[in-house]
Parts: sequence; C-alpha cells; structure tokens
Amino acid sequence: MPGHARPSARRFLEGRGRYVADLSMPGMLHAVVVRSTEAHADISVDASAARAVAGVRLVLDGGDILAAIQPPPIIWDVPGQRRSGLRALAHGRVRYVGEPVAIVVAESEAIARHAAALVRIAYAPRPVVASIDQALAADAPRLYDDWPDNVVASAEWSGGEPDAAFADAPVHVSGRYVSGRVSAHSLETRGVLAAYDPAQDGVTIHSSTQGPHQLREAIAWCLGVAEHRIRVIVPDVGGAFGSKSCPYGEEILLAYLALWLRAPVRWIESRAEAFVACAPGRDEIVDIELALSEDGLILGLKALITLDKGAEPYAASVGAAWAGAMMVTGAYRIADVHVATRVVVTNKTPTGAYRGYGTPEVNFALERALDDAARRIGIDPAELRRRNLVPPEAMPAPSATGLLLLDSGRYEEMLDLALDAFDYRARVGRARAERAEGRAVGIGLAFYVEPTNLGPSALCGMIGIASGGFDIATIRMEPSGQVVVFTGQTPMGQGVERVLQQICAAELTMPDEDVTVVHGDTQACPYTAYGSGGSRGTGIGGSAVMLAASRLREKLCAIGAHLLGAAPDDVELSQGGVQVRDDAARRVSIARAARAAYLAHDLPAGMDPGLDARASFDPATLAITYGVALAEVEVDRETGLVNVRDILFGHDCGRQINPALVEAQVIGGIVQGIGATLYEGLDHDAAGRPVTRCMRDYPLPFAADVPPIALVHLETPSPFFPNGAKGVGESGAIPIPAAIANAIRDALGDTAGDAVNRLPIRPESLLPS
Amino acid sequence: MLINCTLNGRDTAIEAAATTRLSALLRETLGLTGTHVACDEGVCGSCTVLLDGSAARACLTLAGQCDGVAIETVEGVAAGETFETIADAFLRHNALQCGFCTPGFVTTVAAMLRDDARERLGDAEVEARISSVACRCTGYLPIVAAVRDLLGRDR
Amino acid sequence: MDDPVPVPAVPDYFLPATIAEAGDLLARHDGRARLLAGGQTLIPELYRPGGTPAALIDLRRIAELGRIEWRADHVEIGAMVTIAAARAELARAFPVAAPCLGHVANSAVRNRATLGGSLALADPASEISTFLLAHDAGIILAGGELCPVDQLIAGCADAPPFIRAIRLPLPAAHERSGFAEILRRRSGGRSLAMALARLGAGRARLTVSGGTCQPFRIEATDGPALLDALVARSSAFDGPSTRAWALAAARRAIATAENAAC
Repeated sequence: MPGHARPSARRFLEGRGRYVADLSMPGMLHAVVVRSTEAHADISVDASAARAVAGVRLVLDGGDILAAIQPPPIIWDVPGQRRSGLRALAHGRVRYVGEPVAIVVAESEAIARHAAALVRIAYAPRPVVASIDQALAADAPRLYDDWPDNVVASAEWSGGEPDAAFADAPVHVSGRYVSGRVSAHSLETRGVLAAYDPAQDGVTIHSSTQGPHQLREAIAWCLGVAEHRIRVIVPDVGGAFGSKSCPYGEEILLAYLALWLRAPVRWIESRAEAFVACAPGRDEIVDIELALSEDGLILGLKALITLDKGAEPYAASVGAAWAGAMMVTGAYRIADVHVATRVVVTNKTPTGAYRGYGTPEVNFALERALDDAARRIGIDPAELRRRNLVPPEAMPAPSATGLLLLDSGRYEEMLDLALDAFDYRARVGRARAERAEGRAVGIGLAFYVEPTNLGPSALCGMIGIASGGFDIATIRMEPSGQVVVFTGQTPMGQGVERVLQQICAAELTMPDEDVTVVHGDTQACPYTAYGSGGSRGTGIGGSAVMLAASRLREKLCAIGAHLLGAAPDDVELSQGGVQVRDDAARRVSIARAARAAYLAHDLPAGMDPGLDARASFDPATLAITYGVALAEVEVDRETGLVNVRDILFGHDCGRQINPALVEAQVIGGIVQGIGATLYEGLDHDAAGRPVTRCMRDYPLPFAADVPPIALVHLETPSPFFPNGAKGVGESGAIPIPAAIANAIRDALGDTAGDAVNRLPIRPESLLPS
Repeated sequence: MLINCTLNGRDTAIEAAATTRLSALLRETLGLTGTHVACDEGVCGSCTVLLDGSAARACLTLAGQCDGVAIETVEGVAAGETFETIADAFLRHNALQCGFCTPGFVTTVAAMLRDDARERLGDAEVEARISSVACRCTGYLPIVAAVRDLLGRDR
Repeated sequence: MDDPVPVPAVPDYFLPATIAEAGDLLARHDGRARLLAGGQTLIPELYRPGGTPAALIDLRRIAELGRIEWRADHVEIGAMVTIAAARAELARAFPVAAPCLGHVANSAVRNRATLGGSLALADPASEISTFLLAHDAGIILAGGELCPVDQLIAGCADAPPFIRAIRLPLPAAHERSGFAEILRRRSGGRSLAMALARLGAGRARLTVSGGTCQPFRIEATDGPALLDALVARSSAFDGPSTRAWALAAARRAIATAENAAC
C-alpha cells in the first residue's frame, strides 16, 4: 500500500463503503419531504388524502410540530442579527421553492412518495423578492413581517484613515464583483437514518454530516431532549465541502419521528431535492474601491460585502459575509481600510457554507480590482502584487481592521516560485504575440490567503460563533501495544483519519498500521467544538492528537523506565520501544510496557493503571495558508468559449504531514473553482423559481474539462501550531475565479467589459453584442 | 416478474416488479450497495454497472430489461481477476477521496480494460469514457493518471 | 375514517417477440401503454409523478428491430440498434457518424440508448435528429409506411411513433462531410449548437440546430453560399448567442468537410 494511502481506501474500490443510504434496520420506515413549489406564498395544507394511503404511518405539517420542535440554533450569531423563528416545517407561509412543508412516513419509500404527491398545498402567492437589489428596494415586500426591512444584519469596521487615504491618492479603481450562487453537490446527497434507542429511551441518528457534536446539540435544543440520550453516528460521508457542516431541519425532524414512532426512519435526499434544499453557497456582491499611489502601492481599501442569504438566516447565517470582511485585505499591507457587510433575505433557498466560505468572493473582488489597478498604472500585475505583499519580517501582521492576523509565510518568495515555474515572463510575451495574430490569449494571476485552523475559542466568541474552536482527542493504548485514537473529526474523503493516524504513530514511534482511528460517534468520540470545517482537521484535530500522544508517551516512558530500573529522564521512546538513552541493550518494547500498565502488578508509585491519554487543543490564532494561482486561457472569439490551457498553483499550508493528501485537496479545490468560474450556476426566474434543478442543467466539470495543472509549494511551518500544519481544504477554490477572470480580461482586452466581473463567466457574456 | 439473469457470474432468479430500477433492485432487494445513486438521471455515473459487458446506468435500467442479461456490479468486478491491478493503480495515484463515485469508475474502467484488450481504444474514446463518471473530490487528474497507467498509455 | 388509498399498481410488462405482437399490445391498451426501447429517456419519465403508464412494451426481443442491413444504395438500421452500435457500424459509409453520434449524452448512455427510442422521445435538437435529417433519412414505421424524418422531428404526432427502422441513403462516393458541435464543456452535455455539412459535386448541404431550435436543412451550391444562406435564416434561433454558436458550428462543419479526404 502506498505511503499516502488511507488505510480504509480500498474498500471504496470494492464497493464496500457504507453511506447512510446503505444502512437499513428491521422495521425501518421511510420519510419523504413535501416541499413548497412557490417562492413566496401563504399556504394551507391538507394532508388527509396522504394520511389515508395504505402503509402511511404519519404525516406531519408545520402546525403539528409547533409545540414540539423549536427553531434551530444560530451558529454564527452576530450582534443585532434578526431571527426568522422558522421551524423544520413551514407553517402558514412559505418563503422559497423547496422549503419543507410536510413530511410523510410510510412503510416503503414508494408508498411515502405516492402519499407525498397527495399532500395538497393551497398557495396564496405573495410578491417575491428574487435578488439583492429587490430585497433592498425601498418598497420591497418583506419576508418577515416583524422585521423593518429585509436585512438580517449589517456591520462595519475601519482601520486607519480611509477617507483621508482616498482623498490624497492619485489613482482610484473600483468595481462590483459578483460571485454567483453555486452548490457543493457532493455526489452523495444528504441522508439520515434515525432510530429509537429503547435502552437509553433516546435516539440514534446516522447522518451524513461534518459536525456530529453540533448536530447533537441542535437536536437537543430543538426537541428538548438531553444530549446524553442522543447519539449521532456518522458513517462514510460521500463528500461535503461545507454543505453538510450545519444541522438541517430534516435531521431534527427525523430524530423527532424516531422518538415519536419508536421506530427507525430513513430519509435520503434525492438529487432534485438537493437542488432546492441543500444549502448552496456564494451569491454575494462585493463592491470594492482601491486607492493607490502612482507606483502601485495600495493606500486604501473600501469594501461593501452584500450576501444573499436566501429565505432565512439558517444556521451558518451571516458568517460568509463576516469571514469576507476579515479576509478582504488579502495578503497585502493596506493601512487605511473600511469594510462594511450586509446580509439580506430573498425568496430563495438559504445559502450556507461552501468550500471557501466568504473568502473566494472577496478574493475575486480584490484580485480583479488589483488587475485593473495594474493596467491603470501601467505596471505588470504580478509586480503590483509584489510591491504590496506583507513581508515575512512583519509577521505576525494584523490587518488595519484588526480582523485578520497574517501569522506566517513567505509571500514574495511564493510569488517568485510560482512565476518562475509558470515561465510567466515568457508566457506573457507569447500571449501578446498570439494576440497580435488575432488569437484571444491571456495570462492571469491571483494571490490568495485562506483562513484555516478555525479557530481560537476566544476569537469564536468575539466574532459571534456560538461554539468554541478547540478539539479534544483521546488515545488508548491496548494491552498488546496497539493504539486507538478517538477524534471528533469526520473523514469525508479528505483523509483526516489517515493524517491523525500518521501523527499519532510518529509521536509514539510506532508503525502506522498499529494505530486505528475511531470517528463519527458522539458516544465514543471526544467533543469537537466545530466539527470538520474551516480547514481545521490537521491543525487542530491533529494537534490535539499530537498532544494526547505525547502525554501517552510520557506515561509509557515512565513505565519503561520503571521496568528498566532507570530514571524517567534517562529513557526515551524510539522505534517502538523505551530504552535508556544511548544504551540499546537496556530496552523494553512498547508492548511490554503496555502490558505492564494493564497488569498493574508493578507500576511506579502513584501511577494509575491503564494506558490512555486525553488532550485538548485550542489554538492561539488562525493559521493563514496562502499562495498564488496562474492561468493561461484562450477565448474563442466566435463562440465565447474559454479554453483554460494551463494552470499553475503555488501554495504553502505549513508543514505537510501527508503531501499526497495535500495535493489531492488542492487539485480538487482547483477543479471546483473552475466549475464555479466557467460552468456552474443556480439560476432563478423572475418569480424566484429555480430554473437549475437537475444535473443535466448544472454542468459540473468532468475529466475532459480539466486543464493541465502544475503545483509548486513552500512549507513554512506555522509557529502557532505544535505540528506546524495549516489547513488546505479550501485553497484551490479561492483564487481560481480571479486568476481565470484576469486571464480572460487579458485575452479580450477592453471588449471583455463587465463580463469578467460576474461569476460564472459563461460564453454568452463573452460574445460581442 | 421472475428475472433470470447472471449476476456477478452466478445464474440468479430474482422476483421483482419489472419496472423497478436496476439500481434499486441491486441495492434494496439484493443488498449490493456498492452501486450508488447520485443523480437518478444517468448523468453522474455513480451507478454504472456492466450489462453483457458494456457500461450502463443502473438508474436508467429496469429490472425487466435484465431478464437474460449478464449483470456485473462493482462487487463482481472486485471479485474478478483484473481488480487487483485496478485497485493498485487507483491507490497508487490516490485516485479516490470520499469513495462515492469510485464504484462507477471501477466498473467503467473494468469494461475499458476488456475492450482495450480486444481492440486498442483511441485517446478520444478513453477520454470520453473517463468523462462519463462525475467525481466532485479529486479533480480527476489522479483518476486519469491511474486509467492511463492501467491502459499503458503515456500521460 | 377514509378508506385507505392504494398505491398505484405497477405497470404490466410485456416482451413481445414480433412487431405485430407489439402493435397488438399497443392497440389493446388504447394509449395507456408505452413502448420501451433503451429506456434512457423513458425511465426517468416513468418515475415522475403521473408518469406511470398502464403497460410497458419492451421491444428488445424483436430480432428484426436490432438488424443493420446494408443495401446497394442505402442502409437500414433497426430501431433498437444502440447509438454505440450505430456509431461503430455507420462509420464505414458515414465519416461524420463517429464525431456526431459520439456527442450523444455519455458513453454509458450510448451503450443503451437506441436510435428509434431517441428519435421517438428525445429532444429534437439532438445529434441524432441532426444526423438523420442531414442524411435524408426515411423512417419506416411499424406498419411499413415510410415517413421522412423531418415530419417526425416536427413532432406533430400525439403519441410517440412506433418505429421499425431507419433508412439512410448512402452518400455519394465523392461527397465530403463535416460535423461540428458547440458545447459548454469539452466533456459534453447540452448542446449549444451543432451543424453537419455535406459537400457534393455542385450541391452543398448544411443541417443546423441550436438552442431550442429544431434542426433544419439549407442547400446551396458550395460552402460559402451555405453560410450566406444560414445568415439569412438566423432569425430562426432564439437569441444572438445561439445565432453566433450556430454560425460557428456551421463554419467549422463546412471547413471540416472542405478539408476532408474524399
């Protein structure tokens, strides 16, 4: 087996993965959700025909759950934020196509589907708010009668003297940059199997989720059931990318149904449902203004971030806009900054987390605007960036707003590394020559910073995240000397289980295969404050494992020293044994020391029998991963089609514990970034109805759509993490839109117009009008 | 109706409604959950199986259409001779992450290897076949590398 | 308490061995039966609300529908021949068969989808209808009557037709042809526009479709004249983008044909 490979990867090839839809239980019932087909309407529900179907056990509508199911908790809760008060099923009014209105439980899925089609919903349409502009209009219809407008929350931050900086600066550029609504569309949709647990009078929920502990908390909160009676189990997760990071109404409903019916109930989201019910991402407008000196120094930045939250401030809520406010200054020294955010509701599916979560949106705006600035000033875009990058000696460097701390990195070195590897100068020259021959060829680049290792608990509290930012790991060495690691992190393809295995094995000088990792079970695994999101698995989950393993090592050494008759300070753990330093003859194996710990016949005075350790890790700061994307494109002038000829991606995510898995994350992110840049978009008609509702209409990249991609990297360990690792899960998706858009702008020149400022950049918009 | 077929090399008789989708029949009646359903419209390819040796979408196949047909699922491919080389190549290239689409690639590649052994497949055909299955995790490059490796093609 | 509502019955399923038998079954169900060819379009329809017919008549046991017969001046392809098989078989007389039919859906769907099923059910703006229209195909219906393909594509029939075979006249020996399709993604998916050009002695023909516009034919004396004729008809397309794509497809198809070896 190759060194990078996850110990469990082979079973996926054999078809032995176990996803929620693969699980079944005796007596299992099947749930189907009835959803709104209108974007905004008052409703009345008649479920009598559905209830009368043979084999139907239960039909619930919004009125049936009013007393029993509370609105879900808000995970990112900023000051002044407005609440929707919505519950898992709509009551009296629907606010988006896809909103759950009723749930049908039956003995088979076919019966449940049939009955679901018989639930009659009478709609009295209301005026629809289909866009940010409509939501903010003075006479806009309101989604929530008790709100004064359609704004969930807004805020602003300033640093330095932005107005003065703009007044004095010789060069101004500004633009409006739109990141369209896209969806993660993990190949596995969401799914839940909830079972009544008679032994605990509780409920066990199997769910495809990134945050088992967060789901448990939400169920406890919404149903008023004590947390120790709720067990969340996460089987294999078939991709997530943020879309499964927050609890969903269906998960709460299923837990409720299992408790009510005292039976197992399964719900598997169809792809058609996923298009309207699984939280999409992006859908954000960033207005940005830059003030620059004549030699290209950024003197000031003003930004307004407007997030279309869809119909309700669902769990992750306003966070993407707030994260954007934090990241909008990027990798650059900018002394005078003003950033404002506002989050509005519209009659569309609520947006949530998606790979990048607020950072790709502001990166697209900033890096597009910098390109315009370079053109205006007349210097090379790479050179403009170089002049503004924060130097290593200035780090850790807080941004002017104080929202971001650039912790460590060699930004300029990275830029040079990538430019050289891409043969940037020569390519720019060749592109110019090709343009002179009439071909629309262009080169573009974008630098990026990525917030990872979320994140200090105190910071979480300060910015309104209703959880901590730490992880706990426990490690148990068995009497025979092998180790089981228990983690709150959830594998979903990224390979975190492999990384934790490596970290533990390295700390204990054991072979990797002597370590197993247990995950995805709230009864067995320790608490994680934020689940697997925010690119924190290796840096935070891994640091907790490292600390726990080092505690276990200390105990092993103490036992070993005792067995060897040596002083604890004189022994060390190496290659699977405890030995007296520089004396290979005086050595006991880990297995023998472990056996001694469990026999407890003769342990050092005062030592507890057994061999396990626990550690929590709460970082001092976020870790800021960074890098640069370069793209060469050719635009077909006749068709508007963009051919991405080459991509080069440079990145630094600190110490790479498993380089192959790092590379896999980066490439996967790049290709999702290509999808969001050129193909993917969830469109709506004027009545707020989604028009993109099946895979045929949502062009995900396939193999033939992927250009050649080259990677280069630096490894600058983060000084704030014991293992030096930063996260990397979102890197690829962040700078690709700006890099490709800049290359298209370079290729088409002024004729590109505004088309390169709106994602996705479809061929329609690149055709001469 | 009674469906007489060969399932993963064994003669099998299955009682099922003729209009049951093969994907549901495999997963729910036969417990062969390696065939995954991701889009139910034939686009994504996670449910790809081999019918009489050719790749086909189980979600676009009815039970009734399988009477008299040899069905091979990922479980069948995994028990076959070429599987070791397929698995080795995919693991060597780290050509899977969450694993959900992986069975679709394994069956597609198994058919490709057999067809290629009969008559060498052109590059366009290889690209088209790899591009018949969607993966959201890997960005495809490692999958393409694994397949080209298996086929003995340059990259 | 209301009486329990039964779940709708699953359709009856028939596997007739002859065309006559299938025709009888179809008649007997009086519009409530559906013919099942490859199923690649029909099966998702069956699973939509209200999509369940009373009966399905699976045509795959009818040997005659699976034949390909080469004659002196035409080839007759059974309605149940798959796209993959047709693509391979037709390549020897139709150089554009491989590129054109290679863009239908994806390789796995092409292994199951049939010419007849696609023609009867699928989106008219497809590679298959473009190919057949371009080659003046005749559609032989179950009863033996011959119907030009353009009538079928126009979609006037209330119910999908029962197609027995497709008759394709063989192109002249010196004809050159080319096909081009504009796709959002290299990997395929919904077509933006496509064109198929056939250049013969003194006679040039172009078949184009784009967006929601069904394929149509243009005839002229040579390639450049075809393009002029297409520009004149560009109002057929549903917007400036589709016009641009259709024109681009046409230019490329003509260029491919002009460069093709005879």
